[in-house]
Amino acid sequence: MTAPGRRGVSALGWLLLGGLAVLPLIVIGVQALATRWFFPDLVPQEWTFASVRGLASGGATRSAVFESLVVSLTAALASVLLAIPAARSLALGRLRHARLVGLGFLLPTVIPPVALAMGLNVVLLKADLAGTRAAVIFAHLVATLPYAVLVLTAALTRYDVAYERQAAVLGAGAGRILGRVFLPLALPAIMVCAALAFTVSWSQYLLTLLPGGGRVITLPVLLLVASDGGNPTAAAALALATAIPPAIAILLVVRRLDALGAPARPLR
Amino acid sequence: MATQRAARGLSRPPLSGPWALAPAAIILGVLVATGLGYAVAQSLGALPLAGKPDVGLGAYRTLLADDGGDLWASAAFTLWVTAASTLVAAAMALAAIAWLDRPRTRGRGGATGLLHLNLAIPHVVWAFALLLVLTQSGVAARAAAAVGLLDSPSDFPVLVRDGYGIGIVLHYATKEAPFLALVGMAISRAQPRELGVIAQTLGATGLRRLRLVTLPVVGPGLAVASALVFAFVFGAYEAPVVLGASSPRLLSVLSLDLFNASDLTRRPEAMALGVVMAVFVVALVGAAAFSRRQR
Amino acid sequence: MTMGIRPLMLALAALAAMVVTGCGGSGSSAGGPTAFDQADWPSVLKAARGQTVTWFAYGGSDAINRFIDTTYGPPLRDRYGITLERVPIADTVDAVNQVLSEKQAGTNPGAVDLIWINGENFTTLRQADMLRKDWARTLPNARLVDWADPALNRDFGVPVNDQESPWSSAQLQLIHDPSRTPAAELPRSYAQFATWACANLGRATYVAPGPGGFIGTRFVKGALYELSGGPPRWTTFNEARWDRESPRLWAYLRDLAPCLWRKGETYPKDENQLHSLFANQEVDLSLTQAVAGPATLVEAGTIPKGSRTFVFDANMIGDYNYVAIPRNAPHPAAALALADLILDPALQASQARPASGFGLGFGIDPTRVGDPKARAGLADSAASRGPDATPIPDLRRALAPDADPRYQDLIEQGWRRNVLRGG
Repeated sequence: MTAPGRRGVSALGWLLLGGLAVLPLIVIGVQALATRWFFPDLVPQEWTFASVRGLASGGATRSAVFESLVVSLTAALASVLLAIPAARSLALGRLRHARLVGLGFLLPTVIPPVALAMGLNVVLLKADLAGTRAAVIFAHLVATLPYAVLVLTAALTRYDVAYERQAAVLGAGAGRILGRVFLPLALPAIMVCAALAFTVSWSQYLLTLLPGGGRVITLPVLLLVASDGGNPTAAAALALATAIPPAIAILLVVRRLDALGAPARPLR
Repeated sequence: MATQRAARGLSRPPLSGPWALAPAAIILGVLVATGLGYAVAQSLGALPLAGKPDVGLGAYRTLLADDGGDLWASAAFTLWVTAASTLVAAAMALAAIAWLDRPRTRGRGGATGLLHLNLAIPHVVWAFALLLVLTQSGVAARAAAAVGLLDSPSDFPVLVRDGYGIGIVLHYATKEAPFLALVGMAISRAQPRELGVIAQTLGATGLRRLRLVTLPVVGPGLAVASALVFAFVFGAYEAPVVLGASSPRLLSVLSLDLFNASDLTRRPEAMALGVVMAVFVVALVGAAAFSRRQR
Repeated sequence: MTMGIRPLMLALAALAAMVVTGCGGSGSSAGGPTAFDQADWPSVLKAARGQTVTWFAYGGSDAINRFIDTTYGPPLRDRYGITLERVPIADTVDAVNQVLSEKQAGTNPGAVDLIWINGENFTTLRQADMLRKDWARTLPNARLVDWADPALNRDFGVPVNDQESPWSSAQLQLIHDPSRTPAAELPRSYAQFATWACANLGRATYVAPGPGGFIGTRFVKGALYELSGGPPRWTTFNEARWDRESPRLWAYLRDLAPCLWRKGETYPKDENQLHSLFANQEVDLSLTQAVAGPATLVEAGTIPKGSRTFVFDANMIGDYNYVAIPRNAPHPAAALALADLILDPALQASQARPASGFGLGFGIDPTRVGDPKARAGLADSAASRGPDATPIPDLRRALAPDADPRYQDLIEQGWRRNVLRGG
C-alpha cells in the first residue's frame, strides 16, 4: 500500500471512530440546550437552559441521578467484595475445574434479562421487597458479579503469589497478607473491576424496572420513557446525565484497563 | 506449629480455597434460581398473581398456537437481527484490529480510549442518540436538506423504526464492535510482536495481512466473544423499544408486552416465552462452547 | 495504599444507610388506621392530621410531577397537617401489581394510599375487589361533580360505583398547524380523514393501539362508532355485534393504510412519537387528549408554536380520570382528604390552565359551583385556554363515551392481526 493510501485508511478510521464515539453525543448535547428544534433546522432556532435549571432545582432527573448513584455504587462495591475471594480462588487456588467454574460464572450473563427480571418481579412482590433499593441492587448483581469475577480472575492470573508466600514465611497471618500484600498489589485491578461493575449496573434497564416495581426510578428507566420525544430537551439532558458518570468511571481507569488487557466490556 | 503454617502457606494462599467461591456463587445461584424458577412456575400456572393455581402446559400451548400471529414472525426477526448484528460487529472489529494493530498506526492509545468510551455509554443513551441522528427528520436528514439533497423527510432513507430492523442492527453493530475490537486487540497484544513484523517485512499488506496474521491469532477468541454478543443481542430490550417498528417485535419486547397486558391471564404466556428464550440461548451458547472444546 | 481507610469507611457507612432507608417497600407507620366515620367529615380530618399520604402516580413527566407537588402539597400541609408523598411510577400497572401482590400476601395495611387511575387498571383492581367502596359520592366536594354524566359515572364503560373519584377530564382531539393545513381543509369525520390522507399521501397517521398507545385505541374506536351508526351500541358488550361490525372497521383501516405515513408499515407507538413526527413535518396531523389546548405541549417543546387543536363533528371519545383508594390503604383518612382537595374549585381552576403543565380539563361541573369567586376563577381558567384550543362547544358536540372495556383487547389484538400485518 502506498503512503497516501495508508494515510487515507488512517483518516477513514479516525473519522469512523469519531463518528461512532463522539458525534451522537454532540447531537445530544445540542438538543439538551435547544427547544422546539424541528426539521428542517440544522441549527436550533431557540436555545434554553430549562433542563439545566431543572436539574439544579430538583425534579425527576435529579432524584434519578441520586438513585442511580446509590444503586450502582453499592452494586459495584458488593461485586468487588464478592469477586475478590472468588477470583483468588479461581486464579490462585489451583482448583481442579477452574475453567469450567469460570464458564459457569458466564451463565447468568447469557440468560435473557427479561426472563430473570419477570421472575424476580413476582418473587419480590410476594416477599414485599419490590420497590426497594436493596432488591434492585441484588438484581443488578446478576449482571455485575459474573463480570467482576471474570475480569478480576483474568487480572490475577498475572499476580505473583510469591510475595504472599514470602510474607507467610515471615509469619504474617491471613489478614495481614491480604491487607498488606494483596490489596496494595492488586488495587489497580480492583479499581478496574469496580469501575466496570459500576458501568454495568448503571445501564441496567429491565433488571431495575421489574425488581423495582417501577418505583426505583434510575436514569435509564426515566430515559426510556422520555426518549419518545414528549420533551426532547429534557430527554437529551437526561441522556447526558446518563452518559457522563459511566464515562468518567471508565476514563479514570482507562490506562489500567489497557495495561491489564482485560476483555474490557460491560456485557450488559 | 510455625513450620506447619508456613507449609500450608506454601500449598495455598489465604482466601483462595474452593469455599472462597461460595459467597459469589451462592448469591448468583439464588438470584438465577429464584428468578428463573418463578418464571417457570408461573409459566406452568402455579403461583399466579391473581386467581387460583391451574397447573399445566396451557400457557406453552397458547403461546405456540400463536393466535395473535406474532410469535413465529418475532422469532425469525429476532434471529435475523441477532445474527446480522453479531456478524457486522465482528467484521467492523476485525477491520479496527487490522488498522490499529499495524505497527505504523499512530495514536493507538487515543483510539482504544475512544473504544472504551463507546463501551461505557449505556444502551438507552446510544439508542436515543441514533434516533436523533437517523430518523427521517433527524440531524442527518436536516444536513441533507440543508445542502439541497432532499425536500421532505420522506425523501430520506428509512433507517430506524423500519420493518427490517436496520436501526436495531446499526445500534448493536456499533455498540458491540468496540467490545469485540478490544477483546481482539487484547489477544493480539498477548502474542509475540514478531509475527506482525515478519509479515510486514515479507510485504503482507491489507487483506493478506488480515487473513494470514490477524485472523489466525485473534479468530478463536473473537468467536467466543461473538457468541456472548449473540446471546446479549438475543435477549436485548432497550434498543428495539427505541429503534424498532410496531411489527415485527423482538422476542423480549413481545414477552414484556404480554407481561404488561391488561389481561392478567396472559402473564403465564409471557413467562413461558421468557423460559423458552432462556433455554434456547443457553443451549446454543453451550453447544458453541462445547464444540470448541472438542476441537 | 494511599487512600486513608477512615474516609472510605465513612463513605461505606453512608452508602449502607441509604440502601437500607431507601424508598422502603411498605413504610409501615406505627399502628393501624385511626378510627373515623366518613359521614362525620371532621372525624376524617382529625384522623388524617399528622399522617403521610402515599400517592402512586405516573411519574414520567416532570411538568406533571411539579404540578402535583406544588398544587397539592402546600394546602394538604397547611389546611390538614398531612404530608404528601408522591411515589412516581413508570406505569400505573406497577401500582396495580403492588396492590394485587399485597392481596396475595395478605398484607394489611399495604403501601398505597391513593392511585391516579382509570380504564383497565381500574377494572383489574375492581375485579380483584381491592378498592375501597362507598366513599367518592360522600366527599364534601362531591356535590360539585356531575354524577349523572355517563362519561363520568362509567370508566371505559365500567360503572365507577362509588369506588373512584374524578380528577380531570380528557377528550380526543387532533392537532394541526394552520401554516401547513388551513382550517378549511381539515377533515371533520373519519370518512373525510381517509379522503384527506389519500389526497395528502403519507402526511397522516395515528398511534398504534396497544400498551402505551391507548390514544390510538381511542381513535380506532371512534372509527368503529362512525362506521356502525354511533356510540350507544358499544357501551355494553355484545360479541355477535362485534363479529358482525368489526370487519368493516378493519376494511376501513386497511384501505386507509397505504395512504398513511410510511404506507402504514409502522405506526407511532404513543402520543409523543406522533407529536414528534408532526413537529418535524413528517406528518401534518397529530392526536392529543389535552382539553387545555395545545399551549402545554408548545411550552414543553413538543410541538411548534402556532399549532391548534380541532375535532371531528362527532365520535370524539372523552372521559375522566380518577383517583382510587386501595382497600388496604395504610392512611385512608388522609387519602379521603386528598381526594376531596383534588375537587376544590380553586385547584380545579389551576389544573386546567395551560401554564400548570398538566393540561387536562375540569373533573367537576363548573355550573354547580355556588361561590361567585370560585366560579370566576373557573371561568378565567377556561378562558386561559386561548384561541388555539378547540372551542368548548365543538368539544361538547363531538363528545362520545368510551366503549365497554372488553372491546379494548379485541381492538388491540384485532388491529395487529387485521391491519398492521393483514393488509
